[in-house]
Amino acid sequence: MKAPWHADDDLLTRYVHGTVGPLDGVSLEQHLTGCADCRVRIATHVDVAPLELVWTRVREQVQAPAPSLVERLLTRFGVSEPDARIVAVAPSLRTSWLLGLAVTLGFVGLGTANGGTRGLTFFLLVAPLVPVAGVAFAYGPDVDPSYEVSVAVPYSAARLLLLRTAAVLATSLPLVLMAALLVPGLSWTAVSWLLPALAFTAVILAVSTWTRPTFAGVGLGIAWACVVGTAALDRDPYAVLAPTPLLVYAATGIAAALVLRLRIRRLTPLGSLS
Amino acid sequence: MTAATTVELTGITKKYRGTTALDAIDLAFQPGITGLLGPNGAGKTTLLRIIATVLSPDAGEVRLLGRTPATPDELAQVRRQLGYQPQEMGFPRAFTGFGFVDYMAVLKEWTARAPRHNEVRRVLDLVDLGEVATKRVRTLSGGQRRRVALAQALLGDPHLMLLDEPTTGVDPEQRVSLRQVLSRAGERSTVLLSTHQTEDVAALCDRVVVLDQGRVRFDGAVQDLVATAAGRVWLADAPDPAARASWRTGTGKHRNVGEVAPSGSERTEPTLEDAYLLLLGDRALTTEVAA
Amino acid sequence: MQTDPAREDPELLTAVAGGDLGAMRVLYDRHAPWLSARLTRRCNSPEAVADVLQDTFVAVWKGAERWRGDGEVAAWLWGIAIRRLVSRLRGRREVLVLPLEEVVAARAPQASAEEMVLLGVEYGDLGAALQRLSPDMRAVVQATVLDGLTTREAARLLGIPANTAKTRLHRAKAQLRQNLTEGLA
Repeated sequence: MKAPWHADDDLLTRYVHGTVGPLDGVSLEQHLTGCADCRVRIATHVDVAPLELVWTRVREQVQAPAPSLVERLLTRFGVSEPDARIVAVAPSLRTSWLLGLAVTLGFVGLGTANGGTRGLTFFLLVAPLVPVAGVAFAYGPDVDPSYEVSVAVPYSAARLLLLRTAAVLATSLPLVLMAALLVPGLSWTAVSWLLPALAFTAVILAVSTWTRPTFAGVGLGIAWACVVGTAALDRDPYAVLAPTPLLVYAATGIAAALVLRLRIRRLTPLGSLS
Repeated sequence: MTAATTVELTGITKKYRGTTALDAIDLAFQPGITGLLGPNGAGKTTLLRIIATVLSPDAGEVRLLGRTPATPDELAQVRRQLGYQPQEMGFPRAFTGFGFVDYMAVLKEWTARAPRHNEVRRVLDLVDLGEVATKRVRTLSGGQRRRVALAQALLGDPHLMLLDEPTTGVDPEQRVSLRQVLSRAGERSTVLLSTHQTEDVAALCDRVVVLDQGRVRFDGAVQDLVATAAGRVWLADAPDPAARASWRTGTGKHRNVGEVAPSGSERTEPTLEDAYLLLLGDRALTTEVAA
Repeated sequence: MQTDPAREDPELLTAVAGGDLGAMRVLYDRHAPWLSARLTRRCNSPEAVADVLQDTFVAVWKGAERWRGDGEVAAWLWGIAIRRLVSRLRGRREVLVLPLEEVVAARAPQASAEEMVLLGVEYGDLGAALQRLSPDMRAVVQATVLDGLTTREAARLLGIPANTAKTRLHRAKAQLRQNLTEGLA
């Protein structure tokens, strides 16, 4: 049990100015660890200005939102900090989404590796829809709770959507590619899915100039599921990637891109909000 | 450079699935604070959305800050002068108050980090959220979230501020300090305040617009609206069944708002609320219906 | 300068863990002055002390949940601060570390009666035994036993090789043991 002594001003002054004896210093330091009153009193002897400066630096460091993984990657690749912020806010660019995507694709890839049409069908269903889902969950009133207020800003909505789409493609396509490598008989299939994937991305972007990305995404998903399902029923899932369909996808993609180019300036506002 | 009239609406019409939300509205707004009063479904939110360039009208012309924004560039120019607080606002998951306002500041083209952070701190201090700005918005109370929503509308001191129920859910002491913020903003900017609280309008606004069923029922000075109720408000010992509205006040007397003086009553000074009730009758009483 | 006498340090830490910057400000106002003074006695570069202070409180912000509620918050804060100082000294030549005794080199090592009393209050018999150590050994004991550093960290703090620190500490402890048993006898 310590006897209740407290540091007098003389001791505190000497301590702060560095002229205190080593033993007194040691005693005082140990005392300060346990005595709030003396801590308050020593504060009157310490220069406040540098402490205020340090506080503003602490506050800045603590208030500033920590950049996410995607945000850091984007700035590493030369995207400006504000753009990276705006892009990385999208739900489909969050680390959790990308991890979930990787896990899902892992399962899908393993499914194909076992051979058989079922695994392949699943892969062909999922692969081109991955970027579509990414875009559907990157923008719009269904996925952004603050959508309404983020429309009334000078930042171009077209730029926002295109940047986010680019980031979605850059993050999700490599993941699908890795799953594709598990497709047996490494062939054209491992990359030819890219054509419908890119085409559908163009389509969802174009349709987003009329309606919400989520609606467009769901529509595309259903349509593609019908196509793949039909081919699977004929026991020939590869049919969806035959030369003729590929040409159709390419044509659709180009047409969608043209429509997008024409209508992109009318991207905001999106008609009715409710 | 900026026209004296900040907002000019001509023949604005908006229909939703058969109902007419706004019916050929003509309005103009200048610097100062204007209150927008009206029951639920009157069209206040729709009107604010159209002025905020978030919604397109079905017909009519919107002139903002002297121009009719048609191209995206013109829209961007107008939006640089705009602060908008929607009636309901959600926040992206895991954002702190500071993080969210900072994100909005980035969208409003504050590209340099240091001045942006200073501005974010400034607006958060204005709404008294400086100390809790580092908490996740989802952990804040409803009134605090409302203030975050207001803070982002204050970014950059915009010339046109559109606030949809800024004080709803905010506790009384905070409401007083918010009134100070808003009245200071009204000295330089054009502020449109949509609210259910007649006290806010009475305290803050020079001008009031009353909307009902998509039409303008009153547009003029607050005191002129109050004057329409002169001589039609009575204090009596009992409620008057013939009155437009009647309720028991804290002093035990019944306040009766109506044309005819109940027997044994005394006339009393009208408030804005009385005038509002007289103007809209039963429709005004649907104001506090929960969403 | 904010003082909030109503809230104790542990309560403030809980608030900080919940993201309350105002609580952290109070904590800062209470502890930054003595922390900066104590750091300055080990490192006379103001920029280094400022950086360490900044790192310390950012670490407090991020790690406030890790406070186990045992002992003094002040001691916990010092533990963070001294470790930040040590890791900062890694590989930096320009930061001058003040050996504790440099200031009073000219002074005779004889302790005054007052000093003995204070030492006795804070450390009991250990205090008197400490006083009889040489400055070099005392510095190592202070860094390891009192500040809670490892010998490697203490060596970095004092600017001496790790082995020297280890030897000095070993000798100091032996001498302390001897002094203490002599004292009891």
